[in-house]
Amino acid sequence: MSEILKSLPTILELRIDPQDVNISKSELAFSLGYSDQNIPDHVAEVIDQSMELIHQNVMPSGGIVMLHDKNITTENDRIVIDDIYLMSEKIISKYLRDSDTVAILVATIGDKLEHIVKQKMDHNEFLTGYVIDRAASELVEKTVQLVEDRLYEITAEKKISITNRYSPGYCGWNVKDQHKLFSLLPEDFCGISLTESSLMIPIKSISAIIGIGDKVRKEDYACKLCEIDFCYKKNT
Amino acid sequence: MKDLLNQISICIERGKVSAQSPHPADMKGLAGAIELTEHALNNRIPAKDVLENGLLKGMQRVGEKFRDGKIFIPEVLISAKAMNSAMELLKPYFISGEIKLKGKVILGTVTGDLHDIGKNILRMVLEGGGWQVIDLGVNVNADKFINSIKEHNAKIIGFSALLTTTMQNMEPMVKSIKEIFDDVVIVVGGAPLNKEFANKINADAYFPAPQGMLDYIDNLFNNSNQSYE
Repeated sequence: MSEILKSLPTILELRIDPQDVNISKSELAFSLGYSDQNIPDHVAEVIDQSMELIHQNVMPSGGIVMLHDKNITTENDRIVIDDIYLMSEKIISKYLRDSDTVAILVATIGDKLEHIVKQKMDHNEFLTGYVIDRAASELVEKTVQLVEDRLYEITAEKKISITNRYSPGYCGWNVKDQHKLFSLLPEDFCGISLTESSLMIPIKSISAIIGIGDKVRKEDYACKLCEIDFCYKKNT
Repeated sequence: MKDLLNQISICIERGKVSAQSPHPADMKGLAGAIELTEHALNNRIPAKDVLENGLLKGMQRVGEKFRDGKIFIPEVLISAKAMNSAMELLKPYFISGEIKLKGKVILGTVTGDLHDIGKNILRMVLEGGGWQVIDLGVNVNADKFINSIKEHNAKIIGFSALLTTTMQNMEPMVKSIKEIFDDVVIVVGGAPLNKEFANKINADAYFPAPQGMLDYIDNLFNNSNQSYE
């Protein structure tokens, strides 16, 4: 197994074509709470008018850092990578503890859309700003999915499995661990940095960890794993 | 008069800003909130009636529909825009003291957090509901809130956070503010929060959506002798 793991790349910065990260009008309407049938004409028009702006200003990038050169163990339900202790909650660590190694993923759509949202809000164009912000949130999710898909392709080629993707701030994983996670990445990896309060800049960015190995598997529906009742990601 | 005020309220409810507004389609070409408000004031309908029985009545129906899940945030924003456009015409009456806003609310995203979309939407909804909002922006610490409370003599504060790290900053902020102003009402909101967290940090209320805060402070305004101006 160790030979197979060693054959995996260590750092992968992905070139993502902006055209591969897009959102349809229906998807955007759905994320705002509507179906194609019940969308008010005004909202539909704002979506129509915003589509070009959205797609022209999405700057997706992403990367994977595989930690097969590090010692990965578990200790009291925590994942330990060399001397870095991650997670204090069982919710996620129990799904990662059988991993032979882990990969850290990051993805972003850049900061252009967040600046446009701010401009719109500053000019009292609240609806347009809100619509673009929702689109940006959906687009960064699509970007990280492309990064995860790439990891899946690489590992599937070697006939090894991966777990679900877990992010600091979700499933009880304290977002403060973001700093520990980022300490395992090259500086400014994919243009993403962290504030003291663990906020990623650009704001529309995602980081995550994925377990890799023979004995791990992907669960069908990640929210089922989590016992937290109050989560805005739940059932989305 | 009653009919005109009702038409104003319908324009607010449907988000019909002016005659030029192409939406909603079934009201195309008709006078909007701006023209009807202007018409009402020109016809000496008291500004207080225009505000309370026209504009705010419309926003009240918007709030009810949102609570019942019949409309979503985009439609609330459309109505709030119509409301705010018409409110511009009432400015001279506010300045002269003939009519008053319900009171002042200070809003800000807490220390360490730069997310402001939720806070901005809340601002729009509260302004549409007849409140004056003092928006301190993002990454606002307790001192900035305290200074603003002193400056504006405000009695209602809203904290927002989108991160589980930054929501922890709310607890010392609530403590610092309550130590100085024990009569200030602090409402908290943001995606990772819940009612239990709000109770734990000694905040007065938590709401997952802007309409909840508006209803809550409207209720304070209607049912207490306290002035929120």
